[in-house]
Amino acid sequence: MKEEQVLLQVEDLQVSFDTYAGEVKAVRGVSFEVHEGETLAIVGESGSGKSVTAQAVMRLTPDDQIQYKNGHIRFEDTEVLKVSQKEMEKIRGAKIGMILQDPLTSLNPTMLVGKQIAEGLIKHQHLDKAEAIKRSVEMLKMVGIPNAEQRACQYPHEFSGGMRQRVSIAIALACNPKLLIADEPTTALDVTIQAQILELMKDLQKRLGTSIILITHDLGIVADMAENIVIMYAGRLVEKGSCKDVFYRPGHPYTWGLLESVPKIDQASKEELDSIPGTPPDLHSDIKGCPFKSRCKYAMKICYEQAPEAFELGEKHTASCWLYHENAPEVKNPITNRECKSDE
Amino acid sequence: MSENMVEVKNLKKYFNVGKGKELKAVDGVSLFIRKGETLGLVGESGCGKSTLGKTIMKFYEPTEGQILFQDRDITKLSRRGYLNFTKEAQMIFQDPYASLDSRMTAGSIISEGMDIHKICSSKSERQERVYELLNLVGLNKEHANRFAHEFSGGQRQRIGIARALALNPEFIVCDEPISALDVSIQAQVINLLLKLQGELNLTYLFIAHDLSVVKHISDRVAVMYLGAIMEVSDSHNFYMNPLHPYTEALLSAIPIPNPDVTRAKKRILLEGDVPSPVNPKPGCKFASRCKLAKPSCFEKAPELKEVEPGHFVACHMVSGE
Repeated sequence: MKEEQVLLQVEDLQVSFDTYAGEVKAVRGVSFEVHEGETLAIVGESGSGKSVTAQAVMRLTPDDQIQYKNGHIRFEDTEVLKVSQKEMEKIRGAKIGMILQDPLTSLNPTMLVGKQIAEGLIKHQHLDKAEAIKRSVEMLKMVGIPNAEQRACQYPHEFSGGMRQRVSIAIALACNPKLLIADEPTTALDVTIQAQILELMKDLQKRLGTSIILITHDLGIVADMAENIVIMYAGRLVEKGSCKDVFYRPGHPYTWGLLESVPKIDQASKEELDSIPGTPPDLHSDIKGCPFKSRCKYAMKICYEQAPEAFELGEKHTASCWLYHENAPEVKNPITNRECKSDE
Repeated sequence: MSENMVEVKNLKKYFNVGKGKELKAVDGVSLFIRKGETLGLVGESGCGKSTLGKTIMKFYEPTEGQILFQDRDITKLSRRGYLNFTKEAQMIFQDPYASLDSRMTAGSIISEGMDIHKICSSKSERQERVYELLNLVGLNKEHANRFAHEFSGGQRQRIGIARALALNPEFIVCDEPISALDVSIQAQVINLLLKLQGELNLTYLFIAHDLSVVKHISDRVAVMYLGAIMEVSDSHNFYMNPLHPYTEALLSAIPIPNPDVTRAKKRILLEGDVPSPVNPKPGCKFASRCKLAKPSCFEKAPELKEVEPGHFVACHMVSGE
């Protein structure tokens, strides 16, 4: 694979929120990069900090409600965490677009769909109103909405769920951004509609060369869409690698658990699934050692004392787990017996 | 006595949505659930699967048709008859937050049904039973005095299951019991439901939209679309040998967590959306999105026919008419 340019670099990001119950450390040191034209998937359960990470990239949360404790986010030449909100406005919508989970709440219910798409074009590309509306009809056509001219003059409630998500994609891509952040874009949709939207995203990426950060908990979607994968747990990054690395040679026990706990459609029915016992830790408190230790069947003494560093398992494949320390006992990876047909 | 726990005959549930319009949520469904088996019910949102489950539970009065429960007609029930029915049939709900009163303790949530039916003679007997149920669903007796809001989503769902089991029912309708839970917790609840079925010989109607989960937990699977059953088969055939074009499209749309397999898969992309169930057109419900549709499909609705033993399909093209 040729060396692509780094579009976005996140380094040791730490984010906290102040709540009545105390400080919540939502993200606890996450680093990754997104290259031009690639799809990076961030996988994790609810509360793992995946959405907070993505929102930090856009500085979406009002500055007085969030604390960026540490780390850099570099998007092209911009230090995202250092510039003013005014500067960010030039990037948001123009260079980074976003699609959210629920298209009904992310669209303005009192505004014509065409106008919502035109808004960004008028602000960022300084088009006049007529031109912007013309362009927004083109965008609607591009995302596969029939009768685009009439549909542009309708309100979001007149669209179905899948169609609304197409509208959000049209808004996000209107200014031809370099990066698209898709936060659970299909979770609220049905499978047949989900397939349509994923197909559309792949197709548009091929045509426009947009990089995508895909946030999801659905491993099936990740297997279909992503080139690289980041797995998050309790605000930390536990594993990072290419799609093949993570699915066929996963290193972290949490990744093993995730892969084993989804029923496979080609698996025999009514067998017991290998579930991960217990629940994720409370993010109010400091976590001593590895965040996964209490649910991990391989946990050792050191896991309770010291957080593991990222161990290198292969080229650009890391797992934060003490099992890869040279003094750790040998553990058989339960995933290796899965089929790896086209393993090169 | 027949071997069927539940038998539904031509069940219809219409909702009046004003201006003389009717929303046909369940439109002529016939199916049966054998004793001790799990029937999975899949379909997209708005296809009427939850309404069907709730109508079988008698939360809704059916518009037309018949429901037989253990050979008794429960379509019309007296108050007393309904009370007896609730002892034998229970439900587990989708949202573990909305379905538990957060101002009640876990113990009082679980024992509420036992009090209504007066099955415990003393306080200590009642408490013993609560501990036993908590233990059964993987919680412990210290949890009995905690309030519902103190529990996580997965634990709440366990309380919901304990509540459903409190009256020793034989039949449980599980309405999307895991779709509000995280992946790692989903597997725990699936395992629990499977374990309980083995130990207590329960019959499940398992409603969900996640096909892999439904296939995993069910003996037979029914596919629903816009208020009608499209296909019923055993869960192996459902995946290996789907006959209805809608089932094929559904199966091809699920992403499989294996990059090589899922990327090599040929997708059947359905065009458009599910039509509105308000005043639906005559003919096959799926005709407007079906690639095989012929003019006759738009005129006459196909009947659910047994095309091979145990495999029912409602499609003119498959049954060769």
